Amino acid sequence: MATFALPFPTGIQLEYRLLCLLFPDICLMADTDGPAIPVPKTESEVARAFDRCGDACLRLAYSYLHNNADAEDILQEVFIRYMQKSPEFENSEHEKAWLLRVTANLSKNRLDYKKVRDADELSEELVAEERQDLSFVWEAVKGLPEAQRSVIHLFYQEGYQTAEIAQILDMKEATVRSHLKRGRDHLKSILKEDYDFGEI
Amino acid sequence: MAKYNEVMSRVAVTPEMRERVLSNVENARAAKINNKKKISRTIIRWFPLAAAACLVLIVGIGFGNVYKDNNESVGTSNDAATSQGLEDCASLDQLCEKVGFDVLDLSADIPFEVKQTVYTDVFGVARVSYNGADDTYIELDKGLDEGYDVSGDNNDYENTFEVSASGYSDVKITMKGNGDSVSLATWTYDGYAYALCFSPGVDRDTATDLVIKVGGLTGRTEG
Repeated sequence: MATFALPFPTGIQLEYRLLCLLFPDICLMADTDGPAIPVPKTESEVARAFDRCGDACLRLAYSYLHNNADAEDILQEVFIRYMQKSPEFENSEHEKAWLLRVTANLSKNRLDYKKVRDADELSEELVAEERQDLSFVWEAVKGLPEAQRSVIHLFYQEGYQTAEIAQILDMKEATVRSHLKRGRDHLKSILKEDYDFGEI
Repeated sequence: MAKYNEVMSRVAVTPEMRERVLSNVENARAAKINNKKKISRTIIRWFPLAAAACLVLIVGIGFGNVYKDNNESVGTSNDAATSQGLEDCASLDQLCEKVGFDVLDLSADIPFEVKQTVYTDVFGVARVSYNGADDTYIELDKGLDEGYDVSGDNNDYENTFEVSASGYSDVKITMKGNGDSVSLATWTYDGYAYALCFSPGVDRDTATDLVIKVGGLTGRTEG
């Protein structure tokens, strides 16, 4: 049984240990040799993952939700889950893919529940700077169906291959390729000379 | 592509946002620990009294208390589940609102008379328990697919096998059970992880029919 740091008298500690046997979920620390209560990621582990993948998660969330406040809410929820679930990863790329997968799932949920705010600060910023070319590209990408938009984002912004996108978005690779092609065709027809999304 | 990258480069974590998010993550950690401490301390505080009460109860039963009421005595075990961080909801709508996604109402498809339906938010996983007579129940769990089994059922079963729903060869349904019956079915689909627990176990066809219904695996013709 795990030891624990509460300053209980010995008798109480024994009772606490008995309670841990009866109700493992109330124990403050996981058993070192027992199964499966995840030990939360430490503050420094969360901060390290955030610094490495925070921008990517925020951008993916923004590509779904189109405003800063909702994207930040999703970012926060992603890292709370990262801390609480404390998954094990084979390497840093595996970790990033997990974070993006959770980001995509949470963003889709929020869209399904129509809890999204109206503001699009990115669009406003581009208009204010009179960057019509960029504004044109962003509005075109925004106008894509959700599935095509997320595939386009992960392919062009994050540089993932279609097989990797299939894993992140839980789709068949053929479906990813199909979304990619349709998304590009759609963008080509809208952007014309401004189109600069390369082929596979 | 370069233009899209330029657009997206404007979406970035600012120092203030980093501070806010990491601070809120730590607050969530502290809240969880405090909640566990509170539960633990409450139980510890009342443990001697509860133990004494249990002893009296056991002795009373031992001497053949003819006034016992089985239905009433069952209720106390549910309180323990609630105190371990599970949050009951009054309705399916309330549960869906709480977890942030839809959960199908299966009440019309349960193959026994449902006496009680319990809706629970288990740390973001929606759990709906359809309870019949004599400890018969079917329990549906649905959560975001984060690579975890949402059932929480760690029992050892004699048999584990995979099946696919017709037209959904890419959706692997893992079924577990003893003998010919299925006690647990788990699968992922469209970004969600699902589990159906059956007590007592059901036959494979009944389990598959419910999986198809729950997962919305109908209407596709490919495969």
